[in-house]
Amino acid sequence: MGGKNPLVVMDDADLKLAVDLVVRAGFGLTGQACTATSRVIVQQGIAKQFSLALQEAASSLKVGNGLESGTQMGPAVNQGQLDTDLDYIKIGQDEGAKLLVGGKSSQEGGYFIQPAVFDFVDISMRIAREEIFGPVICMIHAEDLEDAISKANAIAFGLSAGIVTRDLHNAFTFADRVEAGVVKINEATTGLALQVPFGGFKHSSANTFKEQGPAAIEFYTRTKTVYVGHG
Amino acid sequence: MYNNFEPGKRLLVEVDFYLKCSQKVQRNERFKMRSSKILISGQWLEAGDGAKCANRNPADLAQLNPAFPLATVEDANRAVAAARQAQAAWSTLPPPGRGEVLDKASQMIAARSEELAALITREEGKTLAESRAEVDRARDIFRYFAGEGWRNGGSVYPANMKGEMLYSKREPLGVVTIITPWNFPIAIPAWKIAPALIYGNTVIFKPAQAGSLIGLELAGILVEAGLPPGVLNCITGEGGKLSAALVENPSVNGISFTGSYTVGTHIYTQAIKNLTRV
Repeated sequence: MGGKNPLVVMDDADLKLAVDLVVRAGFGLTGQACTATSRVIVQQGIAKQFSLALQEAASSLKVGNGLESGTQMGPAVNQGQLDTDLDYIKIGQDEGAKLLVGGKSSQEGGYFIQPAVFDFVDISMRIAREEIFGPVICMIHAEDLEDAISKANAIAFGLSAGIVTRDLHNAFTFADRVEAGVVKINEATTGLALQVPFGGFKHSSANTFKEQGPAAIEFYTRTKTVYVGHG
Repeated sequence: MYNNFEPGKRLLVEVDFYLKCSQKVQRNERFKMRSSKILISGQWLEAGDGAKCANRNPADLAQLNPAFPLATVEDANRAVAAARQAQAAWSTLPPPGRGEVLDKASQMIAARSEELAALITREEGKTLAESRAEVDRARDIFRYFAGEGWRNGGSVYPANMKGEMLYSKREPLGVVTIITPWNFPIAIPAWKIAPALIYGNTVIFKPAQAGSLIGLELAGILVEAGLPPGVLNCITGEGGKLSAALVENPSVNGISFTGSYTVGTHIYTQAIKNLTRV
């Protein structure tokens, strides 16, 4: 039931991997996945380098008709979604975030939009808290792991959350403390295995049942207990 | 359910019977038919008032996709009634027999994967590579849950006295409403419909409008794979109106929804009045 999924990029991260994961999970499916990465919480030491690399990757992405080979990102699904995406680009700029790249509706003839990256997003801004469901990345700076976890958990949604790090302590601390139903370590926030439970925390689900894999039976069945006296 | 099941002849006879009952339709006619008809009780029907709606290809607005029906509240209620009527027979078919149908559906999805992927891209806009991956996922989900037909057992507990046996077993929830979004228009329906069916439930499936054509295709595949009439019903059309009918109907025992927080909380609030599981 919605997400605003964070990917934390620590100073010790593999930079190329981090950019690749954001492109895949943030711009793949035109950002229209409930598990899409939409907040990138980046540690100060790597922020500049990461921001440059992400800008370059975003601006070189080929947007177009999904039936044509070479297309890396399709259009928004309809006019309503495109309008929402463009509205949030304006909201982000009005709130004082810095639009580094993209955010314009691009080609005629379809609901296309250029993948967008905002930097210097504050966790109090609407673009950091509300689900856009489009290819819009919000970069939020963090001092350290503690600050990153606190910012990851600062909003109402809690579906999927990721961290890019080479440090086991960072990875497991994040996995233990992030408020999300799905945690990805050095993997994209999107993409699910069908044989494991799936579902969100907080406003990302009804907080009743999980889906998929061995969890599905819980929702789709009811249990009857039978007492048989045969003595 | 396992207690009633004897492997071998009986299972084969029942499955064969269902496969023979299923409608075989020519492939080229099928697309046309499903895209313009809703599925209720095994019949492909016009929507109550005959209304239809066409989406444009989001990557090429000059291209109009085939029109899908705009079902009415009466259609929704008929679909619930059909699912209710079919539930008892479906739930008494031994689970491995239900699994046979899902396994067949998985194979049919695999055989038609390119066609299905292209339909998703035309209707929803994602790249062909993304659509193919999603179709493959749907294929695997049906295969996984087909196997559940062999696994779903129960538990036996220690008794409190001599000459007593305590056990628990799973029964189907009953009739379930499945409401799905457009962003994974075959994978999400698959991950809801496959477990619903294997555990013995009957279904009313309402895909998002931008996933109507692929939703009807999936329903058609399941019918062709051997689902008896009424076990899966599929209606397309306007979300708010239809989901209200499908959520508030007291014959519905469960609602599985994926979508926005706003719609989700609304459905939850509607469902709680009947204490319907969400």
